[in-house]
Amino acid sequence: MNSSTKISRWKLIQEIFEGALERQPSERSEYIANACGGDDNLRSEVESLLFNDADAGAVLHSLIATDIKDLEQTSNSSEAGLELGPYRLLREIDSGGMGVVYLGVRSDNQYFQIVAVKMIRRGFESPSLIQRFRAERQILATLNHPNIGAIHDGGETKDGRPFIVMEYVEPQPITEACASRNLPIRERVELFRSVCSAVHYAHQKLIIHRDIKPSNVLVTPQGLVKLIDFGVAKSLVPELIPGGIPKTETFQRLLTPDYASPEQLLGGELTSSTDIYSLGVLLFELLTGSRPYSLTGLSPGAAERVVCDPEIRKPSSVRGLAASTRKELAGDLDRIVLTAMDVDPARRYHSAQHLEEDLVRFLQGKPISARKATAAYRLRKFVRCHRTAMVATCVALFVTIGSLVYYSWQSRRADARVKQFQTLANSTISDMTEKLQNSSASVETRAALFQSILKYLEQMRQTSGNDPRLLLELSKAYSRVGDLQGSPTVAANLGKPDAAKDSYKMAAALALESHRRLRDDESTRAAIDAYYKLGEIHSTLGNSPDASDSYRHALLLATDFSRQKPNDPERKRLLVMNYSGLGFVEFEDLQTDVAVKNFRSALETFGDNATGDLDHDRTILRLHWLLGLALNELGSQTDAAANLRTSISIAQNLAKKISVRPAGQTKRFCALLRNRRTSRRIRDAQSGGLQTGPDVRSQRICNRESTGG
Amino acid sequence: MDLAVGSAPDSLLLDEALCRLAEIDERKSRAIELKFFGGMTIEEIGKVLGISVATVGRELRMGQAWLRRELSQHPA
Repeated sequence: MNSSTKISRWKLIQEIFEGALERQPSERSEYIANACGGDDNLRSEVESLLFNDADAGAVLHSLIATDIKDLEQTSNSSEAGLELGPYRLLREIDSGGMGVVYLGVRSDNQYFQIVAVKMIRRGFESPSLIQRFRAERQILATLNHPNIGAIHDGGETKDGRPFIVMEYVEPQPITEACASRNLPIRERVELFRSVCSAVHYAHQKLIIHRDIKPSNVLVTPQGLVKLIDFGVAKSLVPELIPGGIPKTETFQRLLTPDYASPEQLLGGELTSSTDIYSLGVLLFELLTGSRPYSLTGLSPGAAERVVCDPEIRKPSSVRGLAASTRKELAGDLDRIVLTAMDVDPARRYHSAQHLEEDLVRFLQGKPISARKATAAYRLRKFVRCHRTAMVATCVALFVTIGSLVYYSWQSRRADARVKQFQTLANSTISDMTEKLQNSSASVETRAALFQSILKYLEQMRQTSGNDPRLLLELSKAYSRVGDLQGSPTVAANLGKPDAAKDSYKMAAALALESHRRLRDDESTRAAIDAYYKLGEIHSTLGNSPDASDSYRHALLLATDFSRQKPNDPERKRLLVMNYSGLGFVEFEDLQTDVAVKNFRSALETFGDNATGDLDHDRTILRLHWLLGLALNELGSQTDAAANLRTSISIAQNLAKKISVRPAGQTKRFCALLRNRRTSRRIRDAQSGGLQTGPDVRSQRICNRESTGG
Repeated sequence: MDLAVGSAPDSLLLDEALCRLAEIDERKSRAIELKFFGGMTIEEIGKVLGISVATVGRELRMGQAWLRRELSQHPA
C-alpha cells in the first residue's frame, strides 16, 4: 500500500469512526456495515477502535501517570528497607548505572553484621546482566584472601534479580587513604604490596580482575587493603561459571580508560598481564599523587605521544613533586613502574608476585630485577611505539565510541521519553511564543497559556532534574509571563507589576543558573535580559536599591559579553540599556554624580552620533537629555547645554521620520516632547539661562517630598 | 487482551506506540502528548497546534482509541 492510499484509508477509518460515534449505539453496527461496504478489514479496524474508545482516556491517563511515576522510581527511588532473607537494606552506598550497592545489616537470631549488598537496579535487569551477576558471584565464591572483599551470601530478590552479600568495607580508595594519612613513599609501597598479593592470588585461581583502579582498591580503617568489584572479572576456565561468561562486548561496561592496558582498550586477547599494567598505573598514582596520563579528550596524535614516551611516564618526572620525593622515586621506583606499564605485555612483570618481589628488593635496598632502559632498548621501544601509532588512534576511538554507546544506551532506556518531552517543550515554547506574539488573543488568554507552559516545564524539571537547557526555557517562559503580567515597556499587560516582579525574579535566577552551567551566548543573553527586566520593574515600583542591584548584575554579565565581541551591535545594545537603566535609577535617587558616569559610559559604548537608526537614535537622544539634566544639577552648565542641544537636534531629525511610524511610538515620543518642564528646560538651555545646580536639586527634593515619593 | 493491574507497559512500549501513531498521524500523537504529558486543556492544545477546539476533540478521541488498542495488543 503506498503512502497516499494509506492516508486516504486512515481518513476513511476516521470518518466512519466519527460517524458511528454520532449515532446511537444500537444503530452503529448497521451504519458501519453500510459504510464499509463489505470491506471486512476496514470494518474490523473501525470496530476495534470503537471497542477501545469508551475507556481510552481514563486508561491512558492512569497508565501514563503510573509510567511517569515508575520512571521517577527507577531513576530516583531507593530500595532501602527491602528485606532479603535475613538481610535488610539500609541505604544506597554506591551506584554505577545498572548496578547498585546497599549498606545492609544481618539481624536475625544468629548474629548481627554489617554487610554490603550488591544488586541490579530495579528496571535494569536483562538476561545478560543477570548472567554476568551470577558469574561475579561464582568468581567471588572461589576467592578467599584477606585482601579481597569476601562474599557472605547470595540469592535472588522476589522479582528475580540476583544479589550478592559481601563484606562491608568503608569506601576509602587506596589513593585517598594514602593522602589522608600522609603516608611516606616507603609505607605506600608496603601498602601496595598487599594489592599485588591479592591480584596474584586471583591470578593463581585463573581469574583476571580487569578493572583495577583506586575506587576498587579500598583500605579499611585498620589499614587493611581490600580488592573489590569483580564485576568485569574474567575466569580463564569458563567451565567454572555455569552457563558460561557473557562476552564483555554484550554488556558494554565503561572502563576507566586511564587505568586500562593498551591491549584492553583495543579489545585484544586479555591475559593476567593486563592487570599488571593497571597495577603499574595505580602504583604511579600512589607514588606521585597523579595519574601518568589522561586520555580523555586527547587527539589521536597527542594520545600516541602520551602512550609512547617513556620520559613522560616516569613517576619522578611528574611536575610539582617535592625534591626529596623526586629523588626517592628516580631510579628503582621509576623502573619498576615503567616495567609494569610497558606497552608490550611480554615485557611487563610476568606476575604480580614478580612485581611485589621487586618492590621488596627496593625496600631492602637490593638491586631490582627490572631492566635499566639502555639507549638501544629505548630505540627499540621507540620504533615499536611508532608501530603502535595505530594502537593509540584506536584507543582514542574506543573511548569515544564507548561513551557514545553508553550514553545512547542510557538515553534509549528509562529517560528516552523524558528527553523527548524536553525537546517537545522547547519546540512548544518557541512555537507558542511566535504564535502568541502575533496572536489577537486577549492578554488574559496569553498569560494563562504561558502559565500552563510554566506548570508543564516545572513538572518536567521535577522529573528530569535541572537540565541547564530546561532551566533556560523555564527562564524564558517566566520572563514572558512577567511581560504579560506587567512589563513597563509592553503596552498590553495585565497591570500587575508585583506579580511581574516575581516572575522576572524567577527568570533571572533560572537564567543565571543555566548560564553558570552552559556559558553559551543564549544563556548569557537570557540572564542579561532577565536582570534588565527585573531592574526595570523595580524601578517602576520605585524600589531604587533593588533596581540598581539588578542593573548592576546585568551590567557585569553584559560587560563581559561585550568584551568577547566588542563590535557586535546586539551586545553593545545590551550594555547600553543597562548603563542607561542604572543611570536613570541613580538620577531619580539623587545620586547625580554616579548617574552621570553611567550615562557617559552608555554614550561611549554607543557613540554620540545619530546613525539614522530609530532605536539607536532614540536611545542616545534620551541619554543626552538625561545627561544634560544631570550635569545642570552638578553645575556644569556648558556641558549640560551642549548635551541638551544635541538631544534637541536628534529629536528634530527623529520627529520628521516619526510622523510615518506606528501610532504608539509617535504618541510616546510626542508626550516626551510635550512635557512642559522639559521644554522649558530645553528653552532655558538654548538661551543659556539655565538654573544653577543646587536650586534644581533642591527643587527636585521638594517635588519628591510633596508627592510623597 | 486487557491490561492487567500492576503490569503497566513500560515507557518503551508507550514510546513505541506513540511513535507509530506519529508515523501514521503526527497531529494525533502530538495532541495526546500535550494532553497527557503536558497536562494541557483542549483550548491550549488547540492554540499550540493551531487547530480548533472541535478538531482537537476529534483528534484526541480517535488517537486515544487507537493508542489504547495498541497497548492492549502488546501487554507488558
